[in-house]
Amino acid sequence: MLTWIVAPLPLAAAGGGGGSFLSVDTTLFVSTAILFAVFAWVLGKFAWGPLLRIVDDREKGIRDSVGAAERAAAEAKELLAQHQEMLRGAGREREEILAKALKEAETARIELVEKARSDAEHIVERARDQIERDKTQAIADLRGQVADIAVEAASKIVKSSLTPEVQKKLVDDYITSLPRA
Amino acid sequence: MSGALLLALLLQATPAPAVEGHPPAPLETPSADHAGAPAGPEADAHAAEAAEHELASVIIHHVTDQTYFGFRSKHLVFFVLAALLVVLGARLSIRSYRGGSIPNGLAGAVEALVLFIRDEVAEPSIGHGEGRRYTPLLCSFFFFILVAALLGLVPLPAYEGGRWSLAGTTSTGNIAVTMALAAISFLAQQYAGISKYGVVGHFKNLIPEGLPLWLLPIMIPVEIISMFTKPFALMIRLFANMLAGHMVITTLLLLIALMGQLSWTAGVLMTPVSIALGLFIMLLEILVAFIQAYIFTLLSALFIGMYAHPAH
Repeated sequence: MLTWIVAPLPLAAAGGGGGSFLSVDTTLFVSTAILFAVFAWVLGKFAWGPLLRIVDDREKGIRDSVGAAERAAAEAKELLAQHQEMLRGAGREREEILAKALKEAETARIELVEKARSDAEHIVERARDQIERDKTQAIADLRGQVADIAVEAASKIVKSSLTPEVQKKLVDDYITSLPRA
Repeated sequence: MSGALLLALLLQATPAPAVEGHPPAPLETPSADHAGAPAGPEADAHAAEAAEHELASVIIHHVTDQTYFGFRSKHLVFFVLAALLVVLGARLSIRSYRGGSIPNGLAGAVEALVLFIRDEVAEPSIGHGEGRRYTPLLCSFFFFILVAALLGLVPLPAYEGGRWSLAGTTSTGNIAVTMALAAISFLAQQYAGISKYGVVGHFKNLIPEGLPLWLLPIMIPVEIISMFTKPFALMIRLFANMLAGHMVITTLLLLIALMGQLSWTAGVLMTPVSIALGLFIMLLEILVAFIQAYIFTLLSALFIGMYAHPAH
């Protein structure tokens, strides 16, 4: 029935049907066609289908992971930039704090030195005042004592030679001749 | 190709085609073995002619369908065997993923080929997205033809006519089998056009737009013929290629017996040459198996693409 398909081949004529390799065995054709259809269907359903699905899933997985990785990388980059900015800010702050501390320390030093100097001056002043006062006091005391001693001495001298009036006069003169303190 | 040529020559040299295809028992030649020679002084012109006859029948016997362990058709047995091997291999591959998506062992090779068919054959020939629908069928073509061809190179035990032998066979070396494959391919091609454009649209697409009306009586038959020549070419190409390798190997080995009939020395000298050449052809057949599987798959994809995209 199907031999007509190969009829154009000159060799088919020589074959003459019935066992020649160029004649088509109809039963074999029909059975192999049906078998191959079943075979292809079974393979498609149970082999290539699942295999292609696995591959598709894997491809999708890879695409997704690459996308996720790219997003994560971008995020990390952003974070890094943020941190660097923060670090730079911290450095600036540190410098500011340091400068401020240095300035304060300097001010404190100057103040302290100033205060010490004024204190010292104060003390010196007070000491000088004290000395002055003591000196005045001493001079006053001395003057009193000197007068008494002089009077006494004079009286001793004068007692022997002078009258009390003359003596008094002499003493007064002497006192006035004393330098004023 | 050269095998087919040789075949034609042999057929012309054969005076009685009626004996072809059957076990060489009914021949008048006293030798029952493959070219066992009637050695001795009476090896005259008559014997040489008989030997030639014998040689042709041995080759024909080798490439035609035989009974196989009680089965009617050896080719059908090997067809089923190849199909089962493919199914088994594919299932083993699927199992080796173990629920994950990483192929192990055999699956690595199978997956590479499947992806090759999907990305390099189906998608470019049929179109992006559309190609994926036909990938399973194309994979079935590819792996079946490949395994069937490789199976033919394996010497498997056979028993017929009270004699054991080693004879694997390629089921795609039978024209009925390649016709069945081509028929499936043909149905896929027509389905590609009809499912996309409808029956009427599909047949309208066969005729290019803007064709002058007077060309129609020529174009319509041409297009209808071309519809059938496509699978016809697939059928003949695969059949001839599978047949040729087997014929050449058989012929090369028979050369030993042929030479042996001339003289014992010639037969001995021929042996290493025949075996070396036969081995070379056998290795070539491995290459041919891959090439033919690829060609059949690629052309099927191209033809499907032609009907899915009739513009070009």
